[in-house]
Amino acid sequence: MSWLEVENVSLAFGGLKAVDNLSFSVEPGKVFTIIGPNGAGKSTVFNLICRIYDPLEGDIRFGGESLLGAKPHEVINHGIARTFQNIELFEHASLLDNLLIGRFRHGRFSPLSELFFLPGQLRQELEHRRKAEEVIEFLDLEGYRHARVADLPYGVRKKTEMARALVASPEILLLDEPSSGLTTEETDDTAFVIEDIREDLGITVVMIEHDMKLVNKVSDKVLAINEGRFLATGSASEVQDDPDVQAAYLGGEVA
Amino acid sequence: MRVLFRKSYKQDIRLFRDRTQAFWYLLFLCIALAAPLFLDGYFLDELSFVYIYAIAGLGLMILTGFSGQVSFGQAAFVAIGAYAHTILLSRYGVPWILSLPLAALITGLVGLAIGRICGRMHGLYLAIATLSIAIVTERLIGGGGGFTGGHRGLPVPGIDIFGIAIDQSWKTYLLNLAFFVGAILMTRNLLRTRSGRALIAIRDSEVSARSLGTNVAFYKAYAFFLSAVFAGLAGGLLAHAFYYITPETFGMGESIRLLLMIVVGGIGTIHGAIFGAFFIVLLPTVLSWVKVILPSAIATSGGFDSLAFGLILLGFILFEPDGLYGRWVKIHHYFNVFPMYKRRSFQRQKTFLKTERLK
Repeated sequence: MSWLEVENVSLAFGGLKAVDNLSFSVEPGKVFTIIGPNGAGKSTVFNLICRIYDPLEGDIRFGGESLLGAKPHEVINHGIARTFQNIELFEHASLLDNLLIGRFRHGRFSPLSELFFLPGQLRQELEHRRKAEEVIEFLDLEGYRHARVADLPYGVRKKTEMARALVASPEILLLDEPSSGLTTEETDDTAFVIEDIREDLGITVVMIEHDMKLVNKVSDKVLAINEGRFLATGSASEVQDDPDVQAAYLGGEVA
Repeated sequence: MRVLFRKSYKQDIRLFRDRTQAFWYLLFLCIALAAPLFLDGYFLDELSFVYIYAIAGLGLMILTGFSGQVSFGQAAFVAIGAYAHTILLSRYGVPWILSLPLAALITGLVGLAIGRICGRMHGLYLAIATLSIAIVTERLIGGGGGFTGGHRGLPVPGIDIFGIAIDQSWKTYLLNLAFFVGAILMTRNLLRTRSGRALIAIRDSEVSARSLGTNVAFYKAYAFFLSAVFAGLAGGLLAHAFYYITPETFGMGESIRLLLMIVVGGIGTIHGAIFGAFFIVLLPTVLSWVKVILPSAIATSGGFDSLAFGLILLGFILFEPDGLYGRWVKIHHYFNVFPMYKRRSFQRQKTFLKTERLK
């Protein structure tokens, strides 16, 4: 099994320290949640793991192997898939096509075979389709299969993004605010989905989340950060009882 | 109204959705094949032009419509294809059947190099870069001296395939039709496989395309390559249709015409490139018919054709941004659901606002 380790990572934008000497590690088969006030650097941590940003110092390892040598498009080959805070779907394609793009890493670039649609292509396409259908069933997206993504309601778009990441069959899934913008029912639904991802699919989940109800329900371990710095880690209730965390959210003297 | 029942995954992968669709497309193909029997040489030549422009348009559609890179330089690639083909034929005596693919490949490689450079640019900057490529190519060919024939141009040898001379309208017509159908099939195949989906992913969101494993720079260059190969092929065929090529034939205006062609046809669809080609090639013919009934003061004034073209284009941008194909889809839908058609069916509404983007 793989481990995700972030070790003494720092990143600054000009004079602003976005991430400051942050370390944490995620155990396999667990749901790991990162919480923190707005601007705490949570999404930046995801972007660091996904190699969109280069850390100034420190190391990020997955399964004992450093990710720092990988280009952004190679991160998925390590088995790391992600969703985005502001939904980054392929708007003008159907939901099904979005999922099929999620299968990208399970194919090879073979221009002639593609342009002439040689027999091997059909077999591959069917295999991708079957995998996509598995995920469609897993997330109850059957009714939207052929709908254009731009026309879908927000909650479904959110699910579609999760589906697209799952179709890539990752080992670890990074969810950036899976419940933002969802209704109470949809958020409850998301909690069940995350549990199923961990239990049934055996995928480790790292998520950024603000909804404490959801955090309490699904997290095995919680990490609180503020201004890019480590605040506390532990179970959901331990972190919430931590005086530093309370100070970060509510203001006041830092103990 | 017909409802499509899907019974197999293959239905979404095959070329045709169902038998009805296959029937219509094959019927069109039969009519196109039989056209020499009932059309005279003039119309066959016009249709040849439609097919050739459609091939160049499909190339541009791959680049602009599918990978989202605006290009004002497509005519430059057409020119490179035309000149490479003509020079290979007349100067090096390469057989026709080899010369055309070679010319397309040469054009493709030039496209690849340009794609590698331009792949980092977006929007306006990319438009300016490709526009300058169109201008530079025209100048380079014009200044090429004896090799390219300079501004005096080059005569284009006849087509000769394994000793069979393609010298009559119906023969060139069928040849162009074959390449046209081939180009459509290739574009279609591209779209239903991995690389085509990667291009669409890059068009809609580079950051998530990357997070799913797409090497964005590579696929952008690949789109330029394919686009240039199609343009080179069209250029080779176009050279024969013109009999004589000069650099001015493929100037900046031609690039803009090609881009407008796919916009009028309907951007982002294969049909769009084809409809656009029909529009752009047949418009002068239709206008010449219209001129007969107009007062001679208007009909004989110089800018009439440009004015009409401009007005039609303006109309499309204002009233039908989805182009001819978009209009066709609406008409089709109208009859499909008659009498329940609602204009709102095609109204797109944003259900939410996008805030920030990572570029």
